[in-house]
This record gives sequence, structure tokens and C-alpha cells, in this order.
Amino acid sequence: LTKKIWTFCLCAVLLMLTPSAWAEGTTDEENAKKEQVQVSGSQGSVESLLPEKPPVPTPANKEKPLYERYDIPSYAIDFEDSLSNSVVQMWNLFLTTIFGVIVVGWKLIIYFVQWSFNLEIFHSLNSTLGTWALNIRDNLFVGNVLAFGIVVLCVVLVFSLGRNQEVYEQSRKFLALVIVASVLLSFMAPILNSLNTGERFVSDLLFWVYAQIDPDDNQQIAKPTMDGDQSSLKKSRNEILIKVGEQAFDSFVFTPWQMAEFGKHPVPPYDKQELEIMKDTKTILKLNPLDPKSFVKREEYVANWTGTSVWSQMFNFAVPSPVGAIAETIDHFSDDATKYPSMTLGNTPWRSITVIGALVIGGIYGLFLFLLAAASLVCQALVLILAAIAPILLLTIFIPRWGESVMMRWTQFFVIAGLYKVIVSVILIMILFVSGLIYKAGNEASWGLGLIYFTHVCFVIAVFVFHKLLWNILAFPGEVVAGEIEGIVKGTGSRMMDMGVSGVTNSVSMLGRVAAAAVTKNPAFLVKGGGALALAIGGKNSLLAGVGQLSEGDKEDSYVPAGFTTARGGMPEFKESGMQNPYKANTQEALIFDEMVKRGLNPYSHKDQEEYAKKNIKQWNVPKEKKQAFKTIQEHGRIFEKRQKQQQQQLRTVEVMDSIDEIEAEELRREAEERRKRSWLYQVSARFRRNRESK
Amino acid sequence: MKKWWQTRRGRWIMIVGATLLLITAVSYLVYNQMGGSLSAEQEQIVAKFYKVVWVDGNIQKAQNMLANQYRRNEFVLAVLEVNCDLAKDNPAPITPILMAEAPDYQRAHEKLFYVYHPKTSKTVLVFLTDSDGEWRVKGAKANDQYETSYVGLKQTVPELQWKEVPLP
Repeated sequence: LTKKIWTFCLCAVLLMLTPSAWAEGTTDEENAKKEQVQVSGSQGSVESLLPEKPPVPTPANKEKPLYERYDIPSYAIDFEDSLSNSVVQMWNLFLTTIFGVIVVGWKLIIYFVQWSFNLEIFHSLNSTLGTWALNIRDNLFVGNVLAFGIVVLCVVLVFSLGRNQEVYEQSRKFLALVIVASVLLSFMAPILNSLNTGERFVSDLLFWVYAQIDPDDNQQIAKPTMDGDQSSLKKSRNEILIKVGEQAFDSFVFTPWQMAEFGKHPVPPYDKQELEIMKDTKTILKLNPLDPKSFVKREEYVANWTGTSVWSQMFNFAVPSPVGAIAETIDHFSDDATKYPSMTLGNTPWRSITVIGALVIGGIYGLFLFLLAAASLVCQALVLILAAIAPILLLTIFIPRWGESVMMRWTQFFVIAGLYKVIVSVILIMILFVSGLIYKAGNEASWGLGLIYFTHVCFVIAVFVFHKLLWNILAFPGEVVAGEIEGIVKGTGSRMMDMGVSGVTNSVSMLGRVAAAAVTKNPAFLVKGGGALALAIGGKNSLLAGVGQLSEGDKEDSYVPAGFTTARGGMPEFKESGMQNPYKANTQEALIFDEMVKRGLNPYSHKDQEEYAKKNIKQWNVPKEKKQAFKTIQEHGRIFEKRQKQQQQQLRTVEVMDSIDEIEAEELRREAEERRKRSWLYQVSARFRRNRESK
Repeated sequence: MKKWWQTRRGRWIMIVGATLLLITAVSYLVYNQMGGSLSAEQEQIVAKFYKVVWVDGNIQKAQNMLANQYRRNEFVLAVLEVNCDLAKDNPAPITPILMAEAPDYQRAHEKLFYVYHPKTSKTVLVFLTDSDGEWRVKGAKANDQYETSYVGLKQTVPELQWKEVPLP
């Protein structure tokens, strides 16, 4: 991997160097003779890495979105030119570079989010893949390969004649798989299209909801009607994607740039200074420093706005006598000379903080968005790749033992990839909506930018803190689907009935986890444990634990008092159980518990609880503490009951699994032994042994 | 026989000649001492140009004042455009300006003037050229270097003569 990264870096550096090498390649005389041709106009090196047109086209009658309006090199950070070749100037160039990273990064993030909903290439690939599958079916499956495959099958079957007795079973499986495979290949295009349509439908539905309850009413979005008008849905989706991109770019690129460049960002209601900044922002951003004329203008603006600032006069190292400089500065000090002190030497540390802060905070949230969008795209690509390799993989059905598992695994991957594409899209839209809400709230206050940053970072931190739980929840649908598919393909319905649902979940969840982990590239799926379902139940219980004052096992999630039962007090089960008071002595709970036992009632039996409550709790003069304690006992009764059932079920599952494992291991062992005995080497060695013994 | 300078007429000629010589020498010295290479004509051109660009913000008039070969120069026009734009919003007040010729500006047929406006505390560089036979403006630029600013020049070149010129 390191090698790959280095190769990539090298390529990137070479790419960056190309224009400059081009420029250096010709001498001045040659340049003077030839008519000069600018290689890439006023575009920076990075702009050629980005697509020429954004994934979502700008509507014809509207202004370009903020992230498209200005060239990337225009987001340079200007600095007064008073200290030639100084360290400070190099540092400002470095800050400009960092800001370039921010701009390009956010543009890419916005593009990726838009692509994940709008990439038309994938849609056009569907029909191509369908044709490819059909061709494979016609030329391979129905033709020479089928004949060849049948020969291979026959050979395999003949060779397996002596070893197992399932020739009939194998042939039946083979025929079934051939039918399934050819049906699959015939309907590849419709299957892909319906997957697409499903995903589109879900995301369009959510976008529609977004448009209906759009928090930002400054920019009206065309609200579509849900009467099946596809173009109207697409239009609103595109508008929302553009708007979301604009909001992100505004919060994480445009505003930090204004702060670094002008020292302030305008917040409504605008005062005179802020209006000036808005005007100057437009002026400066229209001047791309890579265009020579614009560069001159930009330098001239900066020279006019900074004058020869006090800071440069005081800190100029080239002047022999600083004392004289101070005297001169005092004589000719004027407040008007510097319009934007942010561009002077004095502001360098503070604008560094602004720029690096924007990089860090934007990086945290941006990476998160990018990963989600990329995951969505990866899922989509995976579906297509799987569809493309399906015809080749399906050739394995001629070897029946492989065919079944390959088919199962393929279907698992295919369906899980499609499923996760939808899930990721839904999550992405929800995050974008929440972000829109925050943006709306943040733009109405002067401290709004802080709010926007803080909440976005909090959001990511929350995801980081709860990532285990989130992954478990995310893995759950994948596990279920994988299990279902395995169940269908293997026909293990009867085993499911025997073991109960929990057992099945356990036995197939490992496979499901592997599949889900492979799809999402997250090892969290592989974490051994009760699975998402058990975790959810455990979590619920642990929230309630510790309400009462149990004498032991307060905080354990699995604690159940010895001899716990919910039978009525009069029943022999309760009398024989010998359940002890689990509460600390002299607490309200312990007193109630003892009182109930004395009266021949089981404190954890629902009917006994009702009986006791009727006479002793539901009276007007009963103190509040006692009522509370009784409630706690009831609650504990419910929890213990649930835990007990769960533990019993797990015990059962483990027993069943163990017995199955034992039987399977035994079978394998016996089979291996037989194979060994049948083998040529064994027989020869056995003969040798016999000979030696006879001698 | 008297020599010609011993005559009364000759003595008069001697005295008048010596006086004229003295006056010429003294006036030459005085002229040089007062920074006399700054001719009134060039002064007026620079002051007028300053008023056109930094007070009126009139790009058309400024372009007409340029020497012929620099009228289509993109660099010159870009700089003038910016300064005219800025002057439209914030025109400099019509108060006298300080002006000095750069002593170490070594180019044939060219001169560089530093213009300092005490009210705005800003220094401007104006270049003149005489390639058309008469002095005209070659270009101008807002100062962005400490060394060429008024304060910087006071420090590094204290002997420089700053002349106060009223705006036309």
C-alpha cells in the first residue's frame, strides 16, 4: 500500500510540474519569436483534475452556484508586498496553498455527493451489462460450453461415484442451477434497472420531503408534486443538491476565506463596513491571479488597501535605524492608509489560525460526508461489477459442489450492495437536511459560524463515539438479508424451525457479517457478539438496571436472582425455588419483599403483585417512597424474566450448535479416514507393514 | 600707451563681465541646490495626472495623458483602472501634494517621481518619458514597498528634496 501511495504522490508531483517544465523548456529568444500560447488559460494545475462541468448542471435561468462562480486560484490569500522575499511572505504563500487544498477538497466533496445521486454513467451501463449477459447466455450457456460443461459434469460425477451416493442429488442441483443461471442472465438488465428505480424512488421521496419542509426560505426551491412527474422530481433533487453544495461551500470555504482575507465576514443586518467587504470580495474573487492582467489589478488593489502599513514600517528589518522609522511613523501616522489590516504583517498569525482551523474543522466534517458519498458510489459500482462478473462466475455451476456456494455468495453480495446503496443514500440525505437546518439557524446570528462549526464537529464526534452501536445497527439489515439468502439457497428451513430464530441468526450472522464487512470494508461487522438484536436488548436493560438497590449484581446486565420464578406464591414451584431477598437490608424494597413473602405471595409474580397492590399500595395514605419501591420491584421482575428467558434460549442454542458441530466433525473425520484407506499410498504402505509383520 | 583694459571703458567691461559671470555661477548653484532638475513643466504634468486619476478617477483623461506607445499597454491600463475605480468611491482631497524625483533612477529618456499626499498618507509612483519629444506619462503605480514609500524614503534618502505642489 505504501508503495502505491508513493507512486500516486510521484504521479501527482509530475502532473504539477508539467506546466512549469513546459515553460522552462523554451528559451527567451524562442518565446520572443513565437506567438505565445497560454497552455491552460488562467486555470490552476488542480482545476484540470476536476471535471469541466459539475455533476449537477446549473439551471439555465439561474446564477452559477457559489462553488462554481469563481476560479480556484482566485481564492488566494493576499498580503501586503512590503517585505520582499521574507519568511512572512513564504508563510503567506503556504497559507494560500492550504486554502487551495480546502477549496479543491470541498469542491470534490460536493461533486462526490452530487455524483452519488446523479451519476448517469451507471445508468447507461445497465443496458450494456444486460446485453453482455444475454450474449454470454446465448454463446456460452446454450452452445458449445454447455456441451463441454455437461462432459465436465459427467466426468466429475463418474469420479465421485465410489465416494458418495448423491449422484442423483448432484444432477438435480446442476439442472436447477442451470435454469436459475440462464433466467438470471436473461433478466440482468431488468434486475439492474429495478434496483436503480428502487434506489431512485427512495431518495427522490426523501428529497421531495426535504423540498416540502425546506428550512431555508430565502432561496425558494420548486416544490414538486408527487403525481409521478419524473422531471419535476429530478428538478427538485438537482436544486436541493446545488443548494446543499452552496451551503457547505459557503460555511467551510467562502466565509473562512473572507475572514482570512478581510478579517471579517458579513452577517445580516449589514453595516457599511460589511457592505464594503461584500463588494470587495466580489471584486477580488473575479481577479484570477494566474491571468497576468488580473494579477496586476489584484496587486494594485492590495497595495491601495494596505498602503505602507504601520506594521511593515515598524517591523522592517532592512531599515538601518528603527528608531528613526518610529519617529517618521509617528509624524505621518494616518488611520485611513490601511483599509484592511488583515492583509498586513500584523495579522499573519491570526489568519494562519483561521486558515488552519478551517482546514481542520472542514476536514473533519468533509471527510465524513466524502466517506458516505464514496460508500454509496462504491456500493453502486459493486452492483455493476458483480453483474458484470456474474456470467463468468456462473460457469462454476458445472462443478455442482462449487456452483451452489458461488451462487449463494454472489447473490448475497449483489443484494447487500444494492441494499446498502439505498441505506447510505438515505443517511446522506438525512445528514444534509440536518446540516441545512443548522445552516439556517447559524445564518441568523452573528455567532452563527461558530454554531455551524461546533454542531457539525459535534455531529461527527457523536458518530465517532457511537460508531460501534451505529455499525451494529447498520450491519443488522445486511446480516438478516445474508441469512435469508443463505436460508433460501441452502434450503435450511427445517433447521431454522428446530433451533429457533435466535439460533439461525447466530449461525448465519457470521457469514452475514463477513459479507457486510466485505461490502462496507469495515471490520466492526466481524466483532463477535450476540449480534445487533441482542445488543439492542442488552442496552435497553442496562438503562433500567441500578434503579433499585439490589444487594448484589447492581450493574451486571446478566444478573438474575438464584431460583427466580414468576409462578404465583401458592404454587409449589415458588415454594421449592427458595428465592432469597435480593435487596439490601432495611430498604423499602427489602421490606416490601419480605412482607409479600410472609403473606405467601411471590413478589415477582404479576398476579400476586396486583393482589398486594390492591390492598397495600393503591391507598391514599401510602407514602410516596413505598409506591416507588413497589414500582421498582415490578420493573425488576420484568427485567429478570426477560433475562432469564434470554439466557435459557442462549443455553439451548449453544447446546444445539455444539451437537451439530460434533456430528459434522465426526462425519468429516470418518470420511477422511475412509478416503485415506482407499488411497493408493495407504494400501501400499499397509502391504509393506503386513509383510514386515509376517517376517 | 594704455592697454585696452586700463581705459575707463575697458574697466566697465571687466566689471560687468565679472558680475555677469558671478551671477550666472551663483544662480546655477542656487538652481542646482533647489532641486532644479524638476522642471515646472514636468511638475505640472505629474500633478495634473495625479488629480485625474486619484481625485477624479477619470480613466479616459488619464489614458489621453499617456505617451502614445503606452496607451494600449495592458499593465498600465490595469493599474489605472483599479486606481480610478477606487478613487470614484474615495477621492483624494484637493490639497497640495509633495513631490520628489527619484535620484537613482537610471534610464535614458525616463524619470520617476514620488508623489506623496499627506491627507491620505499614500505614496504613488509616476513614470515620465520624453520619447515623443515632449514629456508625457509612461505609467503609474500605487506604492507597495517600504523602501519607496514616503516614510521609507525619509529614512533611507534623507537628502531628498520634497517640493510642495498645489493640485491644478
